[in-house]
Amino acid sequence: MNSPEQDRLNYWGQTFLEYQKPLLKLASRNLNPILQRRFSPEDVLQETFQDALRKLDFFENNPECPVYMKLRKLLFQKIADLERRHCQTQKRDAFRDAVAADFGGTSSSQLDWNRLADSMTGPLTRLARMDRNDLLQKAIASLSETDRQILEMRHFDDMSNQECAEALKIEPKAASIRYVRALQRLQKLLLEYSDFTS
Amino acid sequence: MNADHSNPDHSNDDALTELVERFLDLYKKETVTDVELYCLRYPKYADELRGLLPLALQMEGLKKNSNANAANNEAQTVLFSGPQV
Repeated sequence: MNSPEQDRLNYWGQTFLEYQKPLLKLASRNLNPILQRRFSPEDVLQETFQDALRKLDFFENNPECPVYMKLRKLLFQKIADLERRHCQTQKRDAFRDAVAADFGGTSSSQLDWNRLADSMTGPLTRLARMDRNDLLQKAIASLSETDRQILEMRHFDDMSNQECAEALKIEPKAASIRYVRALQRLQKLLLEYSDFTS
Repeated sequence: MNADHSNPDHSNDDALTELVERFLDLYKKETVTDVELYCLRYPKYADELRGLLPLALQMEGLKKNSNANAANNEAQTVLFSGPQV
């Protein structure tokens, strides 16, 4: 017979695995390509689950926050931590590995990519886009947590409505309505901001 | 998906939700890319769709910009800080 602590770990271990698929997709999309040469998305997710099992109070407190959103938070923290450790402190080594693999060791290729990126967007275009995006980010930050969660899942985690419904444990139709209402509230906020700034 | 907008049981909210979802689905498949043309097909909901669809596309653009940014992960963590650990 298992101890209560072992049962607790087993329960959460099983629960976390239910979110493996969307989180793996999220890790693949957000893991820096340079880091991907050293860690697979599966590795990162495995470490995230290990962190999660060490922080069960975080999952047991505040139960109204979906488990997916809590795991997502830990996943981003793990990725940020890996970037800090491997891309900043060992930036040159990691970058040299990547350049050597991509360009046969021709590190000057980096400059060509920078020039190409500059030619695609002029400074004014970039500035206008930044202003618009800043306003959008400000409005998103002002939304309720529920609204923000569904928008993040749909647009930043690239999840389908069906996947959102599964992660939030609600019906697909309810997830869809929640998404469109969040968009409507975001639109209203943006209109208020633009009235204020115009 | 065929939205029956003549059905009186079909609430405005439901129909609008369905139309937004349908547009995003078609947009992702690159079957429909023009918001205005899509709005013209549904005059009853055109005003609302004209507000919501460009916003949804702008959100997609924000994601692309964010992904292109080398500091993407940390930025997302800051912007969408989520629950406190």
